[in-house]
Amino acid sequence: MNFSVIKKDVILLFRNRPALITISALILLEAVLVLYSGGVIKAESGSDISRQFNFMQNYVLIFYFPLVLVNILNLSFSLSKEKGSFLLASLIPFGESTFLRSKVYSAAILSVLLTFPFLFSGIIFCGLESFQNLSFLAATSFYLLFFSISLCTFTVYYAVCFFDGDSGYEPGVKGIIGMMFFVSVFVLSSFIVYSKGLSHYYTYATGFRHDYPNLEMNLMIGTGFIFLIATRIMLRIAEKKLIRE
Amino acid sequence: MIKIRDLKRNFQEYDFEINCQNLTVDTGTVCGVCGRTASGKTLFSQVVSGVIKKYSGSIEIGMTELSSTYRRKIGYLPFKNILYNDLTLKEMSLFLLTQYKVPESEFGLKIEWFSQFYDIKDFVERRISSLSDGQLQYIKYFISLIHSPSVLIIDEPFNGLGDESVDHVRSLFEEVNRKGVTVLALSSHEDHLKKSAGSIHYIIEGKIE
Repeated sequence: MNFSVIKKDVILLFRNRPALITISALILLEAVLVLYSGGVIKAESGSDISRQFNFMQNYVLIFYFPLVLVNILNLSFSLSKEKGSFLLASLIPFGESTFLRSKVYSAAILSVLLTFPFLFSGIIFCGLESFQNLSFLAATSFYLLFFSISLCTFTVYYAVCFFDGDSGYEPGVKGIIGMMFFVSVFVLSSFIVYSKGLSHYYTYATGFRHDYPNLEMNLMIGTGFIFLIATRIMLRIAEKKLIRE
Repeated sequence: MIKIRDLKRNFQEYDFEINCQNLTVDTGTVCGVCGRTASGKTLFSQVVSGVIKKYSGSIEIGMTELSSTYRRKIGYLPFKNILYNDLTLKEMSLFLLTQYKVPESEFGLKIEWFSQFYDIKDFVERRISSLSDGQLQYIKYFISLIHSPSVLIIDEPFNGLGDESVDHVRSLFEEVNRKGVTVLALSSHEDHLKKSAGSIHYIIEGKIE
């Protein structure tokens, strides 16, 4: 991981006023949501498990909003800045690969910073005691982290391969529709999988099946491995496209 | 040294061909390639610097065939601005030094060295977007030399510079030549080029003579 390139990407994003305002507004909105839902949960019999399940599902659903927004910001304000600079990348040793990966890493880091504190402060400070379990939190973090990285990789891959590089990766109508379609499919399928898995993980986390190695652990490792291979393939294809250009 | 033999690159999208039968630039010298607008200077400079990768023939940089592993040896100053406008000169320089695996501590020394030709100390903390065309051209020189390349390829070396700045560029060329850097400069300003370059070639419709 090349930290100086990631630092450069984060600086480029934060030096852009609309992007900065959006991120600030997002943080404010998340804080208000946590405070508001905390008040509601505590006022309405917080110990009710089914109600806590509902709130947890809502938090996860809201989790996707900043994630998608960060990817939009990354494409709009960070990748578009590379219009001329991919020429710079072609002058630096392994430049194309470094520049492309840094776009993914910086988006992933930013999305993790904007989503995970929201999710965990929701669980911890709003009294969702049923989910304040280390195994459950670890499993959730693992799943959502890999989902975040793969979504960030996918958006960068899609932009490099299907947007017009000559005009600063500005998408056409087909590009936007295609991107929206795939991102919606990504998010919906992830939410459905997670919602279905919520009760499963809850059962696991509350201590019914703690023997190792167990199915949950194998599933997590297997899923992570598939995610890693898929992201590497996508990045490689995008790199080749850049080098060809 | 730059040695080019039987170089050909066809650009079907422009219906244009770059053709260079024989061009040798000795180590520590300046070679000028002069040509009108749209004569193929930029495309030729991109092929020689390795930005455009597919070609027939051979390009040798310091006795070694051009390849992606020799990017550290080449300093390329393109006509268009490829720097990040939202970064300051210092941020941009430190970023590039890290990419070329040069210690960041050399930044101060490089600024001092370059300031003998043009004082850029005042620009260090300024964003690149706030610089004038002339200042930007000097910054581009500084950036292209930041990793101490052995070959410097410049597309339009006098772009944005006034007549008095030609002397700065000439002194810069002399200084880098003394350090063993080979310079290939491509320009439409023949008179400026003649003052700075030891040998002059011409490019006409993509053919270097």
